[in-house]
Amino acid sequence: MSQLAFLVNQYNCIGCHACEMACKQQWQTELNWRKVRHFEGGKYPKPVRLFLSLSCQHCEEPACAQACPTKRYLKRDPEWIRRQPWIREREGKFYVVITPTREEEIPGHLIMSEGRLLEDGLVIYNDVVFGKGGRGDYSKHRCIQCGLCEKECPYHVPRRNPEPPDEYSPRWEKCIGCYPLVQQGIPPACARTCMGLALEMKPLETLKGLTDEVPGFRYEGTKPSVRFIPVKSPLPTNIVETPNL
Amino acid sequence: MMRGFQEFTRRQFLKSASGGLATIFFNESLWKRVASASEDSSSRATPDETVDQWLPTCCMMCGGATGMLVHVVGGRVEGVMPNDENPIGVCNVSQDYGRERGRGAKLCPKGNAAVASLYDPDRVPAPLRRIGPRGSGRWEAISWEEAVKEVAGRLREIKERYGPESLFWCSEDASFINIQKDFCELYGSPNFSMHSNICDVSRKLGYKLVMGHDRPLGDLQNSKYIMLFGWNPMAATKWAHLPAIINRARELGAKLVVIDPVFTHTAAKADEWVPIRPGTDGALALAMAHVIVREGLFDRDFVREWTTGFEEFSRFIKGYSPKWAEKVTSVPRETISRLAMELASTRPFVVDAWSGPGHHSNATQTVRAIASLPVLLGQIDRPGTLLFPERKGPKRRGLKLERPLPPRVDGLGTKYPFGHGSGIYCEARDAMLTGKPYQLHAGVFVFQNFVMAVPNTTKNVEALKRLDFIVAVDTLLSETAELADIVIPGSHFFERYELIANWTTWPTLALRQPVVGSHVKGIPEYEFVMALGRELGLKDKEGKGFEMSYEGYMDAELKSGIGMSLEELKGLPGAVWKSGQTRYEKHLEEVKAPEGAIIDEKAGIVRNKEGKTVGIKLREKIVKGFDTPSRRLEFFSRELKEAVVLPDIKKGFDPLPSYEEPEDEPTKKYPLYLVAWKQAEHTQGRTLNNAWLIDLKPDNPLWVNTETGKRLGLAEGEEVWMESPYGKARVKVHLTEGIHPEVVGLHHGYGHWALGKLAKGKGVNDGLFMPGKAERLSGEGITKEVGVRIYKEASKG
Repeated sequence: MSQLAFLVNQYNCIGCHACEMACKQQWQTELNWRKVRHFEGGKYPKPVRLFLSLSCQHCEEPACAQACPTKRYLKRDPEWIRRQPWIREREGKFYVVITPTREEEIPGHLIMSEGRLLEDGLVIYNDVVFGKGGRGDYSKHRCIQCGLCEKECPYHVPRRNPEPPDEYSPRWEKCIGCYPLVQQGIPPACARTCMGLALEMKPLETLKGLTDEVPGFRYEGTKPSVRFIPVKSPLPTNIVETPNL
Repeated sequence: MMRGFQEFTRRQFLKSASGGLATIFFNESLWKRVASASEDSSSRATPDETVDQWLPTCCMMCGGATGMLVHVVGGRVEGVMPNDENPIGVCNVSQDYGRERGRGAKLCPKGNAAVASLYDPDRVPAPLRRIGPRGSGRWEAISWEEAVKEVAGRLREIKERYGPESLFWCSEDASFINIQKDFCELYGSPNFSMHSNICDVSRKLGYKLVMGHDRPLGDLQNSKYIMLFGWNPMAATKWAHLPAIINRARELGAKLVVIDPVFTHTAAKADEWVPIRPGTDGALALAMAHVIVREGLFDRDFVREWTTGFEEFSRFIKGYSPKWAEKVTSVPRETISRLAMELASTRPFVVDAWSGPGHHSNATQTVRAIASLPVLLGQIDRPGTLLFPERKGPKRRGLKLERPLPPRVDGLGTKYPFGHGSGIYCEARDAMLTGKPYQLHAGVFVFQNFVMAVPNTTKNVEALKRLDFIVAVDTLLSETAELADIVIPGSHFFERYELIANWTTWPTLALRQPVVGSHVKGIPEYEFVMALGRELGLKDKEGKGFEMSYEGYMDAELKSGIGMSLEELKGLPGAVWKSGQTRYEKHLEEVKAPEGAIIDEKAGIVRNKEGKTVGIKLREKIVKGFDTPSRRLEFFSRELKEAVVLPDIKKGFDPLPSYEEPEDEPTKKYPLYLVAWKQAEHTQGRTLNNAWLIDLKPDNPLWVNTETGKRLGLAEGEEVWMESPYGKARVKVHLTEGIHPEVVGLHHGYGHWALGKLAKGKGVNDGLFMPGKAERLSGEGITKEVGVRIYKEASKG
């Protein structure tokens, strides 16, 4: 499997927020990892309303992972992994070098399947292990609450949870691409529930030719893995983002 | 980040407790009493911590009953997933179901957030007895035994003193209604009512009168042209498959036209939004029919063979030109003519109307006018058009009552000869206030927040206060429950049973079942109703009462309905029974003439011995026809013409779908129309305390057209007064291009002063501003018809 990407169909999206809720119940999160944004423009009697459902873009060059001083983030991409000076490979196992004297093994099943590195390109945590049923194991929690991941991400995707349920929970959270499901061939919770047939997760290489920018989203240097099917009518110039009203 | 829901609940509770919550309701000693009161209740078996399973059920966040699988680990709900064994959530036509289920079933945001309602810390924890004045919020917990004894005692006393008809009982309409009907009948009250009469009964009646079927469903997926009058299926997603079947049609090139005063999320997806003055949809439909008839575009063969009253209709329609309709509707005459031509030249199409036009004073005639469009063009019960669903469901047991029930309090069957079986809430409410035709003394409200749901909130509160005894069954302490004497803790749908004859176009039946034990350590409310019946010793002539278990009751209903036991249904994949296929053009099916049938060759009608029409003579064959009195589609309704109208009602009913101006239009003093709508985040007013959902949309500001706002000097986000002759409140302004300039409106369901900590104090309740009338034909509550004014100063008015 190569880099996976979200395909967001704005022509179909009805702004219902089912994706957001499906994600929330799947991983039982306090924050909404996925967010549906609303935009309006045009002039009566021809107004325009757009919806934009976004979570983490699982960038090809994830800025969060680069920025994190304690190296919590990991991209499931063999080429990327081997490029990181802070990841060491020894005898088929991978280690995160946190300080020159402190190394931690990356749980094999987070990045490998049947002895081979996974290639889906999802950006996940290496210190939280997600099992079935959405429970996390925080035993290797390393977040020092610096917030650099949020700051450096051009989309500010990782967000601080002001009220984590316990002292072991990570303070900054983001979408994990439902990797425990995706690995089994099950669509991520958001795409699975989408009533408008507006959200899919597909290999990026199958989405060639589709636009990577829509109002409210710019393609940045981190190479976000998200493509769009825009609305068909020409857009007015006065499109602005609004709250959900 | 991730955690079990026990923690969720505990944390939420601690948070609320430490937040200085002063009501007696949640103080510690009460909780202790609740816990001890629950000890001796018939709580479910202790869940096995090691059991990890996915259980099929049907959602009940709204009445749509979308199929759902629930992940239960150790007796806790960990998550949900769509159940593709259930067509609800996939599509509504069997021919597409096999293919589409492979692409997955759907759940809406409310379904996905169901678990947050299950573990809502504000849930009523035990039966409660009010110990302060009504609305004071002071309660004491009592045991289930006490609750049954007290309610039975009061109902017995009221029956002896005032007669059984003084009991008014109303219920949500997809919840164990048969056992409730049984209770009312055996008690002797005719006044069992249901939610439908504030939902879609004008639509039902309009279609029933024209087409003989009261719940046609659009085969939207296979349609080439979809024209929706005041229906918002992309956001008022009663069934999770609705947006998907419309989008599949759009992807295949179908045109979507939305006629609505509001640029709803459905309008936002449409190829064309046609803004219209509220309540004038009938005028638009008639003008379109005018064009179709004038231009000779109607399907002549179909009209000749399958309709009645066309001659009268074509004469009548001459008066409704696009020029006339432009003045009434504000839709340009060119647009009206073009839409009519588009409709007439596209096959197949779906034209449908729901709660926009349906919540006005002229609703039934409006729906009849809209229904006449597919009749003119022969677009009925064929693929890609409006279909007539075939339905099979549980069969309610018959009861042999000791004596016939007295007349209803709400005028159903008398003042409202065409009213729906669900009753007329507005009339019942008025009867509580006036004592006419008789005084009601007791009220039971099952999952019905009557105060907030029925138009004219102020009147509702006054009316309920007139009742001597109120029982509310609900999961939360709603505004209605606040006025009750006894509150029975309602179960979440994860905790109870229901049999659901689905809203598909072919017979399917799905099981809702308890997937977890009761969170409140109580009994489901159907068992409470049965316990009440037993305590009162209610039985029919043959001794049928409430001796069986509820499972036994359902089992009998299933066996007589579809010949299957409850255990067998549970064993089916996804606990869903599906039978046969969607069938089209059922009016063409041959039928056998009954013995002694009389065939009127000239009219082509077959009557039985009693003179009732039973079929249509069509080229040497006798076929079924439609379920109207004439067996044909009716432009002209003899039933309406011949209806007996009570002497105190001035007007009769027009047999033609004439346009009547809405009764409560804006006036000089109240110059703006006020409407309300639904969005996907909430179900009416009842999901507002769901932590996840209220977080998605914590407010419902008043939409005002930008130009109108400019004229009134309003700024975005500004708080102003909105006032109608019936109520006033502070509202927050949202200026938008997406609403008709003469109209203001808001998302319905907000403005709670009770229900729960999260719902309370958020947004505005549109019901406050409404006159509170019922539609004169269907009896439906008129929830979208009033004039309002908006002003800044508090002292004015």
